[in-house]
Amino acid sequence: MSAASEEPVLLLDDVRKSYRTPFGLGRIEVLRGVNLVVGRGETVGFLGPNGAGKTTTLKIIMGLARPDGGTVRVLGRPPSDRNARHGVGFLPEQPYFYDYLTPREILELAAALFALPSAVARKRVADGLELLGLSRVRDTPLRKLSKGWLQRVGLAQALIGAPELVVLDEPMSGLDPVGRREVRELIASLKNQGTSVLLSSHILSDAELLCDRVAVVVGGQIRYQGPLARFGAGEAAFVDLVIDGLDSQRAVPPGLEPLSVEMRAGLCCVRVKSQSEADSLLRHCLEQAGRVVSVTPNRVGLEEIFAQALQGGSAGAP
Amino acid sequence: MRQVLAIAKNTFREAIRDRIFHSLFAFAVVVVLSSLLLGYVTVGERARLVMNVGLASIQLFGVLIAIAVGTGLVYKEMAKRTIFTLLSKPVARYQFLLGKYLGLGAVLTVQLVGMTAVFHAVFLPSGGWVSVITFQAILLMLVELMVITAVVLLFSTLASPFTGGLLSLLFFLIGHSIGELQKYSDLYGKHTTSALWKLGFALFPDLERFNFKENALYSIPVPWTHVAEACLYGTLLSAAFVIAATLVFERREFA
Repeated sequence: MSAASEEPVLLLDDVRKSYRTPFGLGRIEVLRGVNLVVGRGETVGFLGPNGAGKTTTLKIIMGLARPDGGTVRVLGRPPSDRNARHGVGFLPEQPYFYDYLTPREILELAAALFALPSAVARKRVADGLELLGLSRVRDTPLRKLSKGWLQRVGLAQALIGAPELVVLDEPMSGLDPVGRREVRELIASLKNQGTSVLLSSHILSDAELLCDRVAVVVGGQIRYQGPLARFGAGEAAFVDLVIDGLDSQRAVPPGLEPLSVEMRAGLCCVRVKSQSEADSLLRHCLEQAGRVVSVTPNRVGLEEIFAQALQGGSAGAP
Repeated sequence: MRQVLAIAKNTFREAIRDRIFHSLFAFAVVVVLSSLLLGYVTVGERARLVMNVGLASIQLFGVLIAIAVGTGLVYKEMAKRTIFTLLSKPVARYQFLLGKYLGLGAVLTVQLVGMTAVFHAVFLPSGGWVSVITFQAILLMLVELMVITAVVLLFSTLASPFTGGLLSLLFFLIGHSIGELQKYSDLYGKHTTSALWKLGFALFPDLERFNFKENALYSIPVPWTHVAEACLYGTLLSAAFVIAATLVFERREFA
């Protein structure tokens, strides 16, 4: 691997940003020294509560806002260098488009802004419409499309330049369950193609399924960078088991103290507080010839994790 | 250049589908047609009256379209956040502004061509004539409209559409009366000796340099050197305002 390819596709070092308050009376610090690295082919989740500084960070990456201090390098170049943006695709949060255009026209405009040769542009537009399932609405004005369709158009225009780095701000927003699954599959396929992805989201399950690691930003600072499981989110707060063929007396092994046991529609529903308790309950049920209908680990909520990070709780060092 | 043309094409498409443009264009057509009625109730000089009203309407509605559509050019992109999608592509900010400028310029050209056709459709049956001078006057109207568009673009990066529109209109009015204002100032003003005052008069664009309506009206020939001079003057003014708009826009952040 050459030295150039070892260079991270995205580097933020001690990035700071503040905005002037109304009437210029003071300044609000939005970013307080953000450090973030996205390697080649890596999918990184950028998580944080509302107002943590996620969108400001993404705007700085895309050259839409300027940092007060620190270093930003996108594909080895500063974000103000438009050549850097040749290799980047961006989906803004709740993407806004010209509502008088159609999906095809939006993609044609995006292709023209990348200065793609005509034949390549035509193919990319057709592929983008196909990939995001937009062929059916290709000539429908955007004002007539639902939020879910607009999100797909946003994703299609972000990918039109065949980017090395894709920056997605809340890509699942406004999508129905089928759409969410399709977008998850799309992001997974980008990863398989070696495209780097920075995925800003507040939905933990998306990050869990897609990301190699996550960076958690709280109060304008990265409080944690690493695998999501190590952040505490991998731990189940409690586990729900549904068992058929056993009553509440027979389902629970002696010595185990479940959080709750109740019969619902002839099924025994048991809640235990750890994965190890769930394992022993499962073994017991099988011995008793019971049938396990479902096992659902319930994870710590992201809000709770953010609250812990705010207090300097489970969050590790950046 | 492809990026500039793509943005220009999109701006053209946006403006041409704008209701304000449709309304103003329709109103301009009605005004030109109404000059025909005025011609019937006026004794003599019917064709000249139609030409007077026609050319004035072409200019006035051109300016109104430039201001009404132009003031929202950049502001609307920021307010609707469509600018995020555009500027996150490999597009320099000057390319964005240049595209916007050329797009609106194309709209104004279409408006001018359309209005010229309507005008001649009314003018010729009223005893009018086809003249190079008329076309020279209309060409210089377009040059002036491009200057106005550049000014509108600058205000669009700085202010809300209402303020920008008001300032642009003020620019148009002062630009057409700067010569007169200077004359009055020299005769009666207390500040005529002030170097700053004189510099202000000297630097403020004189839009009367583009006004050849009287020549068209009374068939006074306009040398092509005058036309070329006015075109050069207009191009330099437009460039200066577009550059100023770019300098403002380069510093802009998008919240």
